[in-house]
Amino acid sequence: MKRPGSRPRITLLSTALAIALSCPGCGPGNTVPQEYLDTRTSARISPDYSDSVIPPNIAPLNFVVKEDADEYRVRIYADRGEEIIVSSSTAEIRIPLDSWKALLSANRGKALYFDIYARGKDGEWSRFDTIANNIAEEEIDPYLFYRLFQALYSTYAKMGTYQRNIENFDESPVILSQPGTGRCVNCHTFVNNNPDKMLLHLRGPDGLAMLIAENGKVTKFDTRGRFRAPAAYSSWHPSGELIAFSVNAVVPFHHTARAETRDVFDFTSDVGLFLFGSNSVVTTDAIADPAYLETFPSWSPDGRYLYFSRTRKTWLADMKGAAIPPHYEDIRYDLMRIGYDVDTGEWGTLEMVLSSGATGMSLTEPRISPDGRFLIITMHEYGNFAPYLKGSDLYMLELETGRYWRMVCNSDEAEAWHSWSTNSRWIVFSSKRRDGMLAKPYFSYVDEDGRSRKPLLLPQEDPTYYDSLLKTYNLPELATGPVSVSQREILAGIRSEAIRAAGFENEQGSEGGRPTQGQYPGFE
Amino acid sequence: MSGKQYTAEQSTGKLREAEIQSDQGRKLAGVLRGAGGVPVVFFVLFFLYVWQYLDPRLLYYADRVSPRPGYLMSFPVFSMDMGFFRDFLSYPGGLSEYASAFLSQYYYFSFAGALILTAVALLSSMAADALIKKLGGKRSRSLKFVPPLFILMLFNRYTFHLENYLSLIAALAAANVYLRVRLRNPLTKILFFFVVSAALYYAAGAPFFLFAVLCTLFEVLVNRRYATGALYAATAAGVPLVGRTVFVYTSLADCYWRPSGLYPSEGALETAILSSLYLYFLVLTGVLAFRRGRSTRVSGEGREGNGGLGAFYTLLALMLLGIVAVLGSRDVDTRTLLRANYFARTAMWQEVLEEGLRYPAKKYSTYLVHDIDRALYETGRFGSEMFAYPQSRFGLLPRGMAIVNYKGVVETLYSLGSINGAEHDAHVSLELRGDRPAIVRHLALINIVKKEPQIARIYLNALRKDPISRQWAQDTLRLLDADPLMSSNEEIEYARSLMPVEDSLFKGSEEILLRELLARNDKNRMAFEYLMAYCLLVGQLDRVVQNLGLLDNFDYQGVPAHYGEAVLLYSARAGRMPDLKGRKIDQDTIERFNRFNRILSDFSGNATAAIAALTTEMPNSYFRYYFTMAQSRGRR
Repeated sequence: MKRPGSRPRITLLSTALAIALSCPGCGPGNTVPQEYLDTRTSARISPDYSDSVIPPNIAPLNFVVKEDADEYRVRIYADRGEEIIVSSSTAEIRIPLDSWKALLSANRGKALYFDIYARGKDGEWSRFDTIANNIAEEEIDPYLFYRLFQALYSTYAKMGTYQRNIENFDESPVILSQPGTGRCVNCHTFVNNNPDKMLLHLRGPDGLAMLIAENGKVTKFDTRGRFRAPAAYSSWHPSGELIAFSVNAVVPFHHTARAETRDVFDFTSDVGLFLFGSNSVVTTDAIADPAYLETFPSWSPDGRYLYFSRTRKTWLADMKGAAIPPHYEDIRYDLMRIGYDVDTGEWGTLEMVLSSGATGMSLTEPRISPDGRFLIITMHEYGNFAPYLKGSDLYMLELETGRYWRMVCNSDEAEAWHSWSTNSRWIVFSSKRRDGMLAKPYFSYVDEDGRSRKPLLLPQEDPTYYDSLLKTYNLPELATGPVSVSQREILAGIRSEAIRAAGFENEQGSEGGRPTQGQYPGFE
Repeated sequence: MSGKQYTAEQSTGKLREAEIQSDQGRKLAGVLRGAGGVPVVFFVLFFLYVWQYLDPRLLYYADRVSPRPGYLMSFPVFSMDMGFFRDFLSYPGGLSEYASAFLSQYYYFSFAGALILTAVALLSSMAADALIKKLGGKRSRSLKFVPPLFILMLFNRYTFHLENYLSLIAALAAANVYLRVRLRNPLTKILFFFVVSAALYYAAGAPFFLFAVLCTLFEVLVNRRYATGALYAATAAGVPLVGRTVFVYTSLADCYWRPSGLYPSEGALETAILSSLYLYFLVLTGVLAFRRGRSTRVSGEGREGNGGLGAFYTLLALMLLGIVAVLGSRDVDTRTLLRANYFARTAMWQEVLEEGLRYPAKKYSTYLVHDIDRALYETGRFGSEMFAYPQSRFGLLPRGMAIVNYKGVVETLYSLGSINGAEHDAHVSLELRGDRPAIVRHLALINIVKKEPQIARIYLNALRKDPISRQWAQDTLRLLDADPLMSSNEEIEYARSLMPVEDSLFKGSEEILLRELLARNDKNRMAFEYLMAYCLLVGQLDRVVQNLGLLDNFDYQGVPAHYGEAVLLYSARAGRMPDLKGRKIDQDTIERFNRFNRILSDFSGNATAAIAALTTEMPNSYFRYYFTMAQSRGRR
């Protein structure tokens, strides 16, 4: 170890030895400097890839060194395998994919180190403290799906659902909503992270429908009959035979002085099921009670329970012509669940899993780990739309014990939209920690005890990519592969005639259906 | 040989005459060439006209300006970003649009813009000249000036959509290459045609059909290869269909038209001129090819004689025709509107008002009203001269989606202190109209004011990829580096002093918004004047009177004329003069009020005549506005 400020005496022999030991094929430029000043400080890098647990199959964690210098060298190494030395005349460090994959593959479960060297204007090299990360044993699902759009306010014009191979940098659109079409395709949802069966929602001139993509074919369903409104938040039953969905009468509103201008209030919402076998929508009082708002349905991995968020509708008397109830900040959701037998279609008992009274916060977006042991939920001050609430955080609930805790992977900004990897060891979620406005996807390792680790940002080939990106990542979902349908097939599905859920006409005209006419005014 | 028969003497005389004429023509042409040549003079004049009169920078700021009902101008955005570039690769003609978007940014500098536009005209002329030469029309070479004249007529209409012209020039260039390439094997030449067609269609889009049709004409009329011609014609019709199957998100209409500019939405006249330009090339090529084909068959000589006096007269006639066409196609009102818009975007408020006076009142849109109101405020004339201009309450502080068309709303809200309101509207604008540098710049400022430097940095980093705004972005980033909250910046601190600190929900009412801003800072003069303007516009005389007490917060001398008029109208209705706390209404206003009363009394029972008299005698008064509004409401 060198003393700070000292200059180690390096002999010609040791320099030659260092060159000789460096990676085969690398020129003299690809060795680390042997003579340098040890700064004994950590280099600032962006994105912050330090002290994290990283998936063994992740793409290279390219980064920018935020230290002024004329030249940079980074040595990446672990216990085994060939080290990588990246030399760059700019602060952008781009790591070669093949060497990176080989290094990670050889060192699963071990530490990975970055040594950063920078040559200043005086020609002298400095070395910063070693940055360490741990490589997990368990892989993350190799594909990430998300929507990319501007920071939406009152309208949308252009957005896209994309798939990204997170083992490299390949990104391709699943479907784009082009300006002028008035079309919005959203809320991609998969059965058990399997992209062969995907749900998308459609809004716009081509209808308010549910698109089911399966085996190269896209079918369009109009599920509005009973609810008079299209499906919103959805969850596939693990069997793939039915989908639980909510219908929400959403009222966006805006703040005059808060940092996050936008906010959302659900005037009403209910949950129902769409059964593919009978092409019908079913529900029950417990999940579509006029006195309550039910939303964010999510199946347990064994398919026996439907979890959802619920709050009592208390504000009708207070509205007095206003669009938003005066005490909107007091609306908090509880976490509920109800049993369901997919074979008989019988509902079980409604149970409170966790109450907002106990937590003091509103509980939304439940997602259960594929191994069935843990449930991650978003907790925030009020309401149901976590991305617009600065303090929203992810909480882990151990289902067997009922214990819950704030996850380590949180930040001071909004966290939301989490999704599990099939092996239950990884999650992805969107977080606004980078700037407070635009969400980005972060991965976090979750150990056997449900403890998360410091998350890492989805790496990009260009490490400055996020610095000027005026788009937000919405609904990141992990999947085991790319989708099985092309954009053209999805477009054909969009333009096709929708299959109406059984009883559609009767229920559209029925006065007896629940909820009552006028509850979802935006969709009538 | 057909035609007149001449005797040998007559023929000799004619020949001598023709020689003399030809000699004179050569001398005249020589004079022009000696002076630098006609083309040089022509294009220098072209450049000066575009630079000094049309002024391309007017276009740079003109996105969503509406020169006539139902038509909103559009101007491209550009970013030196790979993601931005990739979007252009996904449809035919994208490369042409990308290059155009880049070059169009330089309209910001009027000189550079004029150079680019002159280059476009020059290239179109060169392409025409090359076609003429190749097809043996030496005596017709003055026809090369026709395309620039068409283009100038289009520029006169303020349709400087470069992609239309770049694609057209690309098609002409490709046609010229095709006509010149020496491939002996006809099959090789057909293959060459297909390769060029595919590349051209992808790069330049629909104008490829011009290339295909010109090649068709050449093959049929010159080479008499009818089968090849038919194949080429079929290609012209069929390639866009193939494009429709390749490019997932491109509509059939776009496959056939984009970016030719031949959309009727641009305006019938503009479409007609652009269509004529295309037609011109087809006719020119058709006629020359036909003549060449015929003369080759008759004499084996496909070339005309050298130009002489006839060519000179043709040139002269073209020049005169051009001058008439160019002067006749000028759109003076659009120019005035664009100048007003330009001055508003660059905070030259006095000039905005001057242009506003030139613009016909009947053509006023609420978009222009918004800028005029802002200019009136900035020049300290809002309370006394706002009714000298057409007014609409919807132009004062527009809300909702329509704000995208109101260029200055974000800036107005920002200056008023409604920072979140400005942010909201800026985001709506960004979503609907793309990452326009003016809006991105506002969002950076808004987030600096909100003490969100991390967000501001993203906008500034995005702005660094804009060729025009990058320097401003870099300078601001340096300021942020030195002082992340920019607390030493007076403008930022002033904006913060106006910004609401207690959160509430937007109600959507201009009046509530302005009152909340005044409650936050009662020295917010702009909010005060906009509030008073709002009350005047909706005829809330009692509110005007109530708000007069706030005059003490500012340094007004007396009572601004329109407020005084409202007070007098109020006192006439209420039967008492409100307490003005020592302020006096000036004598001119009182005399105008007396005249107003006399007119009403003279035309008692005939409101239409009274309005006409008021419009004649006191067109700029609030009395006239109020009475007209009251009558209109009464009728409703």
